[in-house]
Amino acid sequence: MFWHYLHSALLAVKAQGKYTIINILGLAVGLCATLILLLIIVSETGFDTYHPQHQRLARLEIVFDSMDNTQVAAIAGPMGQLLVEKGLVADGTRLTRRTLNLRVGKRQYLEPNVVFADTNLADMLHFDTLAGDIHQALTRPEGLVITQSTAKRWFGAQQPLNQRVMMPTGEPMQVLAVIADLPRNTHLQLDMIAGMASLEAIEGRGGLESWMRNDFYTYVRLADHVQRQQLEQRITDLLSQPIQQIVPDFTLHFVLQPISDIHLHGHAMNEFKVNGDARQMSIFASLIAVILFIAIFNYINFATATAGRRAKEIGVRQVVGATRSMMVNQFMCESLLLVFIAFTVALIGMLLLLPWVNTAFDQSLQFSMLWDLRWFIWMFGLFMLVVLGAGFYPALVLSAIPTLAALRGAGFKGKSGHWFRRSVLFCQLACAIGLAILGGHIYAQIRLIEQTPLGYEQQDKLVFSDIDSRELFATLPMFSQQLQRSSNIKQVAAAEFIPSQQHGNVVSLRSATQHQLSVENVLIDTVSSDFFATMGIKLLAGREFLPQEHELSANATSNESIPVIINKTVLVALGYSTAKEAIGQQLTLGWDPSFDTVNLGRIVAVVDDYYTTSLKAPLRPMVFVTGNVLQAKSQLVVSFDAGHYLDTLAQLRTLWASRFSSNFPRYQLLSSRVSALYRQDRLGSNMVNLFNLLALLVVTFGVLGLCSFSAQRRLKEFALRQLMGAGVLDLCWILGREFLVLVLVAWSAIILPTWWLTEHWLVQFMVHVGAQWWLYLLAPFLLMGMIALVVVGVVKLLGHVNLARVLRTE
Amino acid sequence: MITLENISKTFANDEVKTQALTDVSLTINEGEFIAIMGSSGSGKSTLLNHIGLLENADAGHYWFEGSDLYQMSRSARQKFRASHLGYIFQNFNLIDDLTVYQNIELPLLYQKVAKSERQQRVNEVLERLELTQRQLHRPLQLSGGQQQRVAIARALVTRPRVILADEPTGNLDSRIGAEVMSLLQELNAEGATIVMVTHSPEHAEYCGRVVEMADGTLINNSAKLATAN
Repeated sequence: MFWHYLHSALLAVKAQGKYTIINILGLAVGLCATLILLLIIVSETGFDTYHPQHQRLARLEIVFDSMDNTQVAAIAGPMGQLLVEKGLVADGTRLTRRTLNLRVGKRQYLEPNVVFADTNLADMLHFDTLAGDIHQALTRPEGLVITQSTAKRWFGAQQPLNQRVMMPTGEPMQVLAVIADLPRNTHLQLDMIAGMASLEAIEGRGGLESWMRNDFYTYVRLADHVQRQQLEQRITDLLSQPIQQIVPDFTLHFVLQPISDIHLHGHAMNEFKVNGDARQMSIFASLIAVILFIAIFNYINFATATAGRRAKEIGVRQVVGATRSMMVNQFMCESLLLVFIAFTVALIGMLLLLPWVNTAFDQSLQFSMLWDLRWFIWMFGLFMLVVLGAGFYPALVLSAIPTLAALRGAGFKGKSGHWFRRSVLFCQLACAIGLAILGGHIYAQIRLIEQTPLGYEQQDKLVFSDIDSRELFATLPMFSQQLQRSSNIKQVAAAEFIPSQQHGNVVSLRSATQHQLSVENVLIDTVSSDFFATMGIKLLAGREFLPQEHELSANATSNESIPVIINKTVLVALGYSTAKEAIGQQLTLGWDPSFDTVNLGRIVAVVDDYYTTSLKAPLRPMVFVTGNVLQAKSQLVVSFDAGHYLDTLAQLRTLWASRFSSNFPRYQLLSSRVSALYRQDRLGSNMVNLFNLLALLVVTFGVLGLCSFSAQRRLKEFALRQLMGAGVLDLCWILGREFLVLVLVAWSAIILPTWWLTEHWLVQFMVHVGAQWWLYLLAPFLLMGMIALVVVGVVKLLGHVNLARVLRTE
Repeated sequence: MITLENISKTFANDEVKTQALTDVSLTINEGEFIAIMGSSGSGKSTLLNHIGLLENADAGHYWFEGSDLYQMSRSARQKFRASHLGYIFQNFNLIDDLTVYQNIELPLLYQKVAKSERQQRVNEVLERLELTQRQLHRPLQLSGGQQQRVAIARALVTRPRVILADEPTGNLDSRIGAEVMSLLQELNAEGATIVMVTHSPEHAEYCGRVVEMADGTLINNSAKLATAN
């Protein structure tokens, strides 16, 4: 029987000719968009699930409650070990990353992803060993594990095992294992791994034993059936004590981030790399739902509209003995066949588009992902959903047409059929209009974000990251003098935190004269002299820190006042009416909200507000000090003349070695760092708009199908009208007016929900565009334009029909 | 074999009600060849549709060998129709996309008859109706008479107890119409019970009994005509 159903389905598909092609193409475009989105979601949600027992693996992260709830992905060295010793976790391993200058043969390589790890690393996290033994490599002080691409880069075609690599200290290392490059679906980023013993040899034991240096990504394996929240509380109780013994005012807690959640939910400080965005996945999932809805209802609409053509067949089948369930099976089989063809077309389309999607949207989708079991399950589920969703309703409706009515040629007609099709088309048009308006707002918002000044200058500035704070601030005056002799370099400054970076330290501020005026959660940053000039941050009043104030501030007692610079938000909060009025005023800096530990400050300048990260975060109260270094690592900013990027870099390299003991640090243009802040939003916006366009295309296919079918059905009417002198425009109006009216109705119905959704989305940005009313007007016109094109196309085709033949046949 | 008892049927739409059948009672014996005649709108096709279980009466009973078919569920009636009744229509009602063979095979497929038996029974009727040479043709490649022969073959292939023919010669010229009538007569002679709606007194002459209708009622239930030829 199945073969008969399939055979009949094939015949039906063939008999519908061009309508089948339109239907399949519409469905295929929708499915292609859905499959690409699904592949992205599957790819993004499957991170780090390849590690053995990944459900039990978590990364321990620290949250500083008293520092604006700053969450840090890495914790102090001794913490993980203590947890294992106390039996709170089954096992634990640590990783820490450095940028090192390594020498291989006669060549120097600046390696930004050198990881030092505990010897049990491979027992917990999975690495594909291609040669050698990871465990042995990490146990031996000279052992080094490198990835396949590093091996190729360093040694070319030579055998990498047992090759020597020189550490910056001159210690020789030996490649004892080669691992495959890390898969794309991991939050980790490394090119080589050495044991902790090697780190000790380079940096000494201080860092490893420090309870204050949050530099170690610590992964733990939880015991079976453990209650995560309870365990987090126990970990907090155990680990916060040693910290509070050192800094009593710190309040903090620990969280266990499941390893498979890190990519989408991990947005802590010091992540290995920029992670994904769970919210974006929700948007993509919603887009899938809308596109599928439009595509499936295209099919349903078309199947019910063309029922009249098949009425006789339905009637005959019923007369010769087909039961309703047999007819349902028959139509479901047709749906299965059509969806299968559309799916195949969509899959081919997806495979062809994959390289372009990767380039345009910075994805790393690979053909090999198509063999992923999860993808298969989702794809099969999607296939069945479309088969059932598209096929079931028409099957029910068509099989229920009374036999006699069917034999007389009546399809799914009458008021119910007409209203059903209109309602479906109305919903589809409303979705398309809503998506277009929403997409337009997203685009406008991202443009606004990129164009809105953040309060500092981004261009022609190089940022050197993660330099030892003490060395940097101590060396900076001489280094700066030396650098500024160069004609290309304008200014040099250092800071613990620079704009584009999440700030981690907070204090409370209180007016020394009026105690009731205080501000909590004020971001504090330690900066060098010339910081504001280097960054292009506007001074509203006062002056920059002087070079000698660094030393004075560092040695000041709690009774001596240190120079501070406040921003405009603090100025307003402390009740000063002008910036000048604040200059010279005294402040109390409280390192805790209750002002138990304080420093006295004297305002030497007021600077304009700037956005520390992106426009998504609000303007924050900020205070700047000099000399009070809190962070182990700081940043160096070099402002240079436009067009002298390479010269500047070369000069810095040369001077660096003469002034600093550490390796040449990682560097990046400030403009690139800022651009990276919006990368996800920008790519997301582009993707949403592309898929909106596809949704519009699917709707157009639906309209094309219905329109050409309607034209075919009314062929005699049109032939007569043409005979009586109707022109192309008259016929277009007759054929298209129903669609145009529906667009207007859908538009008026969708305005409010779209406005609400748009406002809801925009409100997350501190600076956002208002309602773009022109978009509300443009969207329906865009759709009407597309429909008009379709209608004109169909009517033009009618012009080629032989009128005499139509009238004779009819 | 078939007894219709006081069958009434009204068709209604928003504006008008039409009494299509009023208290129609009719008995059909096994092996009979009955013609139902009457002017347009007299209710003859509606009566045939009731006999063929394509319509449900508003009132009355339908007995088939003692069983009241109106007491059966919809699906049971459907099964009964497929196995006991065969249809021939004026406009043939063949599925254009299927071949002659596939059209004839269709009812057997729905009755889930095994493939080998299907082949045997389809070949039998193809031979009986001299359609073997045409079995791979599609309906639109055949003449009207040939299409009607295919429709008859499709009606016969399930070996129905009753054949219902709704103006089977209405779309055929007189020569082909006469051929079809002869064929039906042959089938009747072989034992098939046939009920036929026709406008043509000439074709009614092939039948053993003529039932005349007017305004939804039977006005003559027992006219016996001499057999043609």
